[in-house]
Amino acid sequence: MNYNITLPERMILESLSKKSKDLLKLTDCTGLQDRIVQNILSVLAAKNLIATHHNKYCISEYLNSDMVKELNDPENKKIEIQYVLKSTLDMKQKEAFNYKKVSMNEREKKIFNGHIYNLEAFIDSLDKNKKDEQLKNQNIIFWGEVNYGKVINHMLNF
Amino acid sequence: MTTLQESILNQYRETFPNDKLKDYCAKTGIQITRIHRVLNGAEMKLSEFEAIEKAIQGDDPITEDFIKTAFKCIKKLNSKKISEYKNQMNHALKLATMTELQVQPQLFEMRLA
Repeated sequence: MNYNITLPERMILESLSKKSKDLLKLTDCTGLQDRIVQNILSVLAAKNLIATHHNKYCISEYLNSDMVKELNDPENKKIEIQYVLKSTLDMKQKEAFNYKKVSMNEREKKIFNGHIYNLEAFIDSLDKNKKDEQLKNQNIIFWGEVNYGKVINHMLNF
Repeated sequence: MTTLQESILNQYRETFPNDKLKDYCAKTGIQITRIHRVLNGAEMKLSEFEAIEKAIQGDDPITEDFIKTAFKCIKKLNSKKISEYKNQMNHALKLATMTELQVQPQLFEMRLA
């Protein structure tokens, strides 16, 4: 079975994986409208990914490691990232996405890598410190760099 | 009635649920007596099928352009790329369905039972 899921479905699963919740708490945690949450719950239940227990929604006991592996399939992750980037660009918030083509010599590349290292260390420390139940309040951060020539060649040869 | 014929007529009914025979006639250009016979099971000609299909799709240039581009992609692109676009389209469809439909909670309970 192919479990390719949408971002809102993934968000509901993430929320339920932290703690079982009723509809009200799920809408509060995700920030999604309750009718949308109901639709998603129905789809996830049909796929046997969630169940109900004491009037709360929870991750299904049938969700085994193979299913989790399939949910985190690289192709599914790629679609997730594409949609996050697309929505971010569509939102047109100045600070949300920055992009620049630059030339770097060896020394500058080392400095850049140092900044990336520090940024990653900071992001990792955030993950360890907080376990925010409210997914809607979390921030999505993206970073990285790629060689201009390589990315164009990949695009043409794909 | 063939499955394909039944399918296209159902699509038409879903798109234009309130249409009467004269509306079918106006939208497809098929004569009213012929439409009546087709709706009652007479086998449809290819030209009639295409006329009904066109009526469903409408004259929206964006829709027409989209379908033309999709056919060009099928001819030109490799299967990996086509599969990637198909996945993106399915993803977009799922998101659209999510915001359109209103699921009754009791249905969900029934499915879980």
